[in-house]
Amino acid sequence: MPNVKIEHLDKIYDGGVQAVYDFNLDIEDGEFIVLVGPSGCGKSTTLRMVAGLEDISAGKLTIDGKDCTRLPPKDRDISMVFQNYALYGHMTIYENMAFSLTLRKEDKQVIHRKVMAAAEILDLKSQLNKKPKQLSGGQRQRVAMGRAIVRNPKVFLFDEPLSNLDAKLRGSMRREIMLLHKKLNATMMYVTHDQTEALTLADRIVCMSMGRVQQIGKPIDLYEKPANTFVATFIGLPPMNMFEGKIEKGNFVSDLFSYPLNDAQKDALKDYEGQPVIMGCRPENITRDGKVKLTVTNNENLGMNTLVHGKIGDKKLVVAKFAEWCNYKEDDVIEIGFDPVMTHFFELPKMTVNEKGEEVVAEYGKAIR
Amino acid sequence: MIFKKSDVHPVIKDDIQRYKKNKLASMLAILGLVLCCAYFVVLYAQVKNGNYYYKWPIALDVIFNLIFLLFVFLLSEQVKNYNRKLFWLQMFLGVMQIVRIFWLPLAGVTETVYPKLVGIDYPGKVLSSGAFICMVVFLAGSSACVIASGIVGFIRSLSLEKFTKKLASGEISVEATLKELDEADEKKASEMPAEVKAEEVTNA
Repeated sequence: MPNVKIEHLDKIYDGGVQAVYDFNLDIEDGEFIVLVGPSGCGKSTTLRMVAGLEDISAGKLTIDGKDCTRLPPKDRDISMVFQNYALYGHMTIYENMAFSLTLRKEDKQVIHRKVMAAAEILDLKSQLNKKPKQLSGGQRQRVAMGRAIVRNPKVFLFDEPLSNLDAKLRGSMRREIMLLHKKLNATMMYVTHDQTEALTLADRIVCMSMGRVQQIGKPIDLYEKPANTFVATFIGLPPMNMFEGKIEKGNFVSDLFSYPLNDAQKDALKDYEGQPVIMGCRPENITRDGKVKLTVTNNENLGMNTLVHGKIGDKKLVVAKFAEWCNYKEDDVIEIGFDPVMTHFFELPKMTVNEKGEEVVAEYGKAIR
Repeated sequence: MIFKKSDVHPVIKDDIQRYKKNKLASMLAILGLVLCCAYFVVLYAQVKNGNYYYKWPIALDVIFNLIFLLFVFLLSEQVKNYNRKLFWLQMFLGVMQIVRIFWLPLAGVTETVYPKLVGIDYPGKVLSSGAFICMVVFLAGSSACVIASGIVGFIRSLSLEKFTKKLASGEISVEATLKELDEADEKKASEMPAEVKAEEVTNA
């Protein structure tokens, strides 16, 4: 039985604004799920609905077989770690970690043993007598996690816990969360807008946009087999290069270049003859053995590899990633190609006009496979 | 790891002290301070222009009150952190509260005055017995709280110091005790019949 089962979850606010549409997910026991997406995509709202901090407008939430849709947060047996730590400034670290257990009137010895065990896991033993203001951001976040651990909940919820930390600390905390998950083997739901966190931490990623789930899958699946144009451009850094064109006689033809399809691509695109499609290729899948002319605008040497920014034609900006140190100068012209195995094709997104009269995406272009 | 309610292990009991403030001693000191405030509110209510209390001793009482409030507040913070350096000062202040009963409050019920100012021409006592009893209760209570706070603080700080020394010398080990308790719990859990175990997990 899945540990957490979310069925047809909707969130509609009082003003009629719908933040989450038909969210479905089965989380297995001990699984690490990351909800990723841009700001306003509904990922935090979903997490808060699971936590019980937001009412569920429609749908059903089951935690370990128990219907929790209308249960108050305290009865759901979950722990949440917030971005801003939410520690009590006037209490010591020990007292902060013990607080939830003290409220439950647990035995002193039990509280002490749980706090010490959590402090051991999180390497906080030497900080237990300090106040939160005496700790660094990373240590404070560890305390917040410790407070969650001592409760021994069925599910851990993390709402962008690393967003307040600097890049270096974020990296080390990411590793700590990964180790913590291994040690506790607990079910975790983690919200982030940082795709690096999502790709490194998750057993499965839920990629969201506009309140809807765009794709659920293992990190490698989202990276190598994106379900639509949103996932293709959101996952991966730099994002995937997208070219609009159409299929003509076994070729992808755009205003800028023509790309011959291989047999597998021809087969996948046989129903799209003469129709407009989008071709996508990640920067690292651009090769230097093709016939497409790229005019270099600038280089970003990153040590192990180089990001080459350039233009195809006059306006189409393209980023290529080459696994070596490159010394291209501005206006150098190089010939590039696209790795046929790693080239993706998508339908065109369906557009609609919003109440302000602006053209917006109604549905992202689906992948053609 | 299985945690269960049990009597507190002596090592764990002492170890908890390392991470918890001595709130009992601190709160007792604060209570002593509050009772002292109650005392002087009652006393100063008796001070009227030209009456028995309208003399220089009341100034001394005000000064003593200020000193008492300041020091007891500082002492409450000291005992909270298991510091017993000012233990004797705390005892002195506590005893002084008892001594004060025999000064202005007692004088109020023994001295006879003629409060002509309020138009009464027959002799009477400065203090009503009700006010006197209140003052005695407040001062005695304040004294008891301050002294108790000092004693609790002294005992706990001594026990914490002993525990810390034992820890430093390696005579006892918190880690070993925690491990021992974990093992005992796991052993108990493994010996427990499956149905009881399932019930405990459900209850937990």
